[in-house]
Amino acid sequence: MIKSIVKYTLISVFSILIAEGFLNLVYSPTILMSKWFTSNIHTPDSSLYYIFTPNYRGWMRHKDKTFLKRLTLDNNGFRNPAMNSAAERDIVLIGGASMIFGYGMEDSETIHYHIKNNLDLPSNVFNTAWAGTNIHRNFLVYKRKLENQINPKLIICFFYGENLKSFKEYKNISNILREEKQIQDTSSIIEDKKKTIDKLFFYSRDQVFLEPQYGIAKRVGYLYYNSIIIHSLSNNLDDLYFRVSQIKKKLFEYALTVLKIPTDQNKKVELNAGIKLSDSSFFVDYINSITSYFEGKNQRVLFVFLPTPGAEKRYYDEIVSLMPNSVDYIDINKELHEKIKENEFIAIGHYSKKHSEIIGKFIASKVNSITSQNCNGQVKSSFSMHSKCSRQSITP
Amino acid sequence: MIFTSIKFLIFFIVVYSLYIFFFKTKKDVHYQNLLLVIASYIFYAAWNYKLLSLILFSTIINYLFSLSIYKTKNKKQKKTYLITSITINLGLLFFFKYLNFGIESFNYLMENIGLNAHFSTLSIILPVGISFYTFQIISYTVDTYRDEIKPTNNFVNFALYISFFPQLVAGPIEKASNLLPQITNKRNITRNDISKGIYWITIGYFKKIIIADNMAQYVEYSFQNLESTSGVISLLGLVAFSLQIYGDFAGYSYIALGISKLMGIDLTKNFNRPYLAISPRDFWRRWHISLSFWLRDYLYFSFGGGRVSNFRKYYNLMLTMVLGGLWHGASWNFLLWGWYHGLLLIFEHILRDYRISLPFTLRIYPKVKRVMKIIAMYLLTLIGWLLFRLSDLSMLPLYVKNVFTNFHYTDNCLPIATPIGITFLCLIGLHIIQEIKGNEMIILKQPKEFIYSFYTIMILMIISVSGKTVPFLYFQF
Repeated sequence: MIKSIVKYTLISVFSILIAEGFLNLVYSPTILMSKWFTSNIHTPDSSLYYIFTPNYRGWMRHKDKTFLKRLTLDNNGFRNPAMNSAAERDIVLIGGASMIFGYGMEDSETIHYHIKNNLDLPSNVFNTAWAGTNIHRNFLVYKRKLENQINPKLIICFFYGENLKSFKEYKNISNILREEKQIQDTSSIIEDKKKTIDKLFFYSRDQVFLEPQYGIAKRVGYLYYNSIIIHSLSNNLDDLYFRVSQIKKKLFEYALTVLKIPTDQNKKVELNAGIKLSDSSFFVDYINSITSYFEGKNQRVLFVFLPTPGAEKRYYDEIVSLMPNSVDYIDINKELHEKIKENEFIAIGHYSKKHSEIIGKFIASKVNSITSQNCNGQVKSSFSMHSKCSRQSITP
Repeated sequence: MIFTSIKFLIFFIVVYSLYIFFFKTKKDVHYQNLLLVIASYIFYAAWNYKLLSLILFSTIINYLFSLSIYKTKNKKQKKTYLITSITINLGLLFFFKYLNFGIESFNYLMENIGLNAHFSTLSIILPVGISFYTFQIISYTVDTYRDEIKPTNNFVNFALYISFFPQLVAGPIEKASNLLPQITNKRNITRNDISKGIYWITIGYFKKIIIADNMAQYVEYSFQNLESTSGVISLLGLVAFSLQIYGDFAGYSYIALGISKLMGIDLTKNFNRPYLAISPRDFWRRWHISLSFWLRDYLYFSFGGGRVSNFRKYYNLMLTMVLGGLWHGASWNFLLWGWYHGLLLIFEHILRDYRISLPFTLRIYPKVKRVMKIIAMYLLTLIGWLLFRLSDLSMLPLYVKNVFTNFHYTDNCLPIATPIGITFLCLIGLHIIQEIKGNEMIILKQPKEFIYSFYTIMILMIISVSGKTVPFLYFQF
């Protein structure tokens, strides 16, 4: 009996190894694990949660879902192909996540590339955007990696799908601007999963692969990252547990509704309604603080709102409407609505060369117009310019 | 409801549990058949419930016609019934599948000869499996007419023959002489049936999920980016497509075979290691066997078959293959693919009929000759798959140009070549072993430890990889 158990255990181990080996040969583990990038692009970081690995060479996913778009990062972990030796000024791009990062695009197809190549004044345009990273984490990365190396004339801050509520965490903004602070994930789906899933199970944020925080995944670590079978089995268990919990939750809520007992959901809605105005003030505080921060260093700030599709569009509309009059911003959605339809939004900066070019050239033209304006000039509509004489010039 | 979905798994567990339960009842065959008919209609309705009325209409009409054909003694009357039945069936098939193709082709022709006739196409849904069950119905009525079978009086049995869910949407196209007796008679499920059924289902899932779905992404990449990738990638994409279409179709067929076997029903084997074919004729004895035999029995033989002059035989072959190509889809590339295979068959027949031997093969060791033939046939098949895959034939010159003038190594060649190469070698290796041993179930003949390991590997791989349910390619036919 024991002999039989040992025999079949050894056969099982051998079979697992064969299956793992075969899958690794014929499959891209990164596709199976629904990653955005090939392995090791993320390096855990105690205060920033993760950073992109410096001098990384790997692949991104093409729009056909094969991992066949080459990706190279510089010694800061940024996507910055060759600098312009004849540059007369530096410009920095912050935020914009995967869109400004240029996920799924060659270096010569990104929005960053088109901005750089359409400026009247030769400039080094530093792209500090990272896929899957919100604007503030991006800002902290810029502070750590580049701020002390360059003196940019213009900082372009991109908003892409930013949630109004997420600005609450920046409420002690002056402290955060001076020091790094660990940024928690505020995606509501992941919050739900975190609360629902016990420490027994695994956790990964969307398709961006981060250090697992809980239970077995934290202990197996390497195997979870690199074993297709362990990763798949754990995710399947994860999903099954989550779905069962959701069913239980829905049944429970239904029972409460039938019995007419007030639920947490109702209370949450009231709470949310109560703090709606406060969310706005956090956002406005953030905008003013960022602007003051850079203007304190004699650097001009330009905010750009990138087209955001689907359910997140309402966040975009919300925060655009809250923009203070005293800052410069571009509403791409409004400016280019005739050239880019809403169903094309997700393609921009990701898979569509045409749209990247349109947006890149448009932003470059706006930057050029700031450069060429005199003290009394003013551009109309959504690209608002205020007090040009008092604002820092972006020419050298 | 595709076979690789959770929904189907739950559906099958419920149906199979009831099916086994009915074994304990007195009228087990009757209840089982009723259960299977209802389950089959539920299965079909899951695709589109509105089109259920279509299959029901076809079933009722052909049930009545085949009984009329059988009961009528008057030959002329028999023929009238047969022609009417075939006309209705093909009429429905034409309407749903070929009408828009006909309109578009007509408009194109008018435009090119300078006439300004333009007809609008209609918004028609293509019913899933219509090509398969229509051919199955036609085989039934023709066999009845030819007195090869006695049609059944039992409507439930007939309905089950037409709509049996494992083979309803993508074959195999079953002859009544094979399937109907199994439906009508009492069934037994032995341990051997269960063992074979599980084996075929496992193999089917492996071919679909591990081979076909994986190759699909490389096929998509290489064919969508002909202008920007090298000829090496284009060629690799074509090899990947040969694996994809085999894995997809054979995978489905094996799952259908396995599910039926679990119920004590034997369906026709639809694939027999097609990439080991040594000639075009051999290929069509190994690829989509049920369609190949249908084309032979109901088209080729009806046209006169081989019992005519050589020229007439070649004409019959070409016509059969062109119609066979068109069966796959209402598109010029399928027609061209059929024509191409017709050409290959005619060429083989010419070599045989006029006893011509290709000079360079005369003095070669037989086993080496066989290997050369297999390689040559595979390459010829690849050319056919190119025509099959390119729905836009205007891309054909670009593809050819890419392969012949842009054939160089690029950064992404190795990441693409590795999975395709390994998949190809594993599949062909397994087929070679099966071919040499002359036994497809060679794995089940091994010691139980080996079988345990085999199933562990298969199940782990299938569970690990089955994240998305990708539709079967042949569903579109």
